[in-house]
Amino acid sequence: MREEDRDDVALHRRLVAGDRGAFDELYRRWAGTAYGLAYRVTGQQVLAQDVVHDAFMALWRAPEAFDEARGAFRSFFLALVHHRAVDTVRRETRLRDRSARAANLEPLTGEDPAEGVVDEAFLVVRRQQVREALADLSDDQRQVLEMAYFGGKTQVQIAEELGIPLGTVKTRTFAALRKLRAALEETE
Amino acid sequence: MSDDHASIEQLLAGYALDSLEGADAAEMDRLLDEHVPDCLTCRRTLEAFGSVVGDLALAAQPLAPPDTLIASLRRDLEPRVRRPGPARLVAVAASVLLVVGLGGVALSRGGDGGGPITQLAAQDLQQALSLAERDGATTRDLGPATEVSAEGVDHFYLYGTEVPVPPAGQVYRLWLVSGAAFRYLGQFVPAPGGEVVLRVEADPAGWERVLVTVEPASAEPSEPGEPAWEAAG
Repeated sequence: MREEDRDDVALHRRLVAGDRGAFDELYRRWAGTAYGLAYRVTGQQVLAQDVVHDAFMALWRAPEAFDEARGAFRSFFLALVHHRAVDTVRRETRLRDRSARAANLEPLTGEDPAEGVVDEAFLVVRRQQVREALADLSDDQRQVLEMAYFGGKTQVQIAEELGIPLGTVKTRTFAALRKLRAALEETE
Repeated sequence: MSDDHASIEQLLAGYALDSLEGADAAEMDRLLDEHVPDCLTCRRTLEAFGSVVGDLALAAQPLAPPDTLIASLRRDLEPRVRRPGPARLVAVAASVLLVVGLGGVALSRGGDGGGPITQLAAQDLQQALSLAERDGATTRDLGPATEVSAEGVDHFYLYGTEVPVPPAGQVYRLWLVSGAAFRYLGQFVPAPGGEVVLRVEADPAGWERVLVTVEPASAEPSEPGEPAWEAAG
């Protein structure tokens, strides 16, 4: 286990015991990443805040949901944030035209997106590794991956939007994850 | 259905991305029950894809959350004190946002006919979201909801998704309250799908709290009961 993951596990154990200080420290470590992810998926600051609030509350109320034997805390918590963000987007889709949302891939206008976010050193490195691994995917693979992960779209929706068979979406998605897995495991 | 690993791995990839639906989602559920627990290969693949997807979050630009977020979290970590009252509360199962603008429109007492509450179409939700995006807008929690206010706006919005329909014969009622004083703004019920989009011509400035209660529709609104959702005004 990497040192940064051990730090998260130690904080999580304190959280299970009801330590508010551990909650604050986990917030300091992960709120910026969580909020950035939620904003990119939902495209709305108010929705992103709601998502991150709910995710941290879920962590506080049921910290036992994370099992350190099954992976890094980072993966668990960011998956929780992502799942809630995607749920939010799918609910919102019922209410309004998604095209009216802010462009997902653009930073907030008039703000420095990273202002106030102090990344841990290991995160700076890992972010770069992830972005490089994404850049190494084919355009087709990256497209379906980003539509699914950041766009909150199902594979059926992706197939319809791109006008390609569902099987092709599955193939490209699997190939993309397999390639990312190889690249990221190599840099562990 | 066959359990060949080529097709299972494709499903695992879609599952890790939360992008399955329909028959694929059902098949994944079956595999998670019947196959994956006893298949070391699939367990390792699922774990690895989960880790990769967790790392994908790092591709998003980190953003500093608004200061109100940690403040609302710290408040919500405290035990909540509930007051007894004649009107029963209902739980709101999903997110509901109350968008509050500050302004100075005089209110007429009333409900869903000529009063300050106007039921909007679902597609008008963007009006509320646009208000929330304005400079000077702030957000705060209202129980399971989030309240957003913006300076210089003479109305506020109430909107939500999957808001439970109140029990038969009951409605939600919206109030402004300060100490023993109160002002009734009107009543509403969500659409059958749980959607609520309201525009309320009211100024919560100067009031201590904004309340939503659940009360019998047949009863004349007299005074607010126990709040279903509440926020300091």
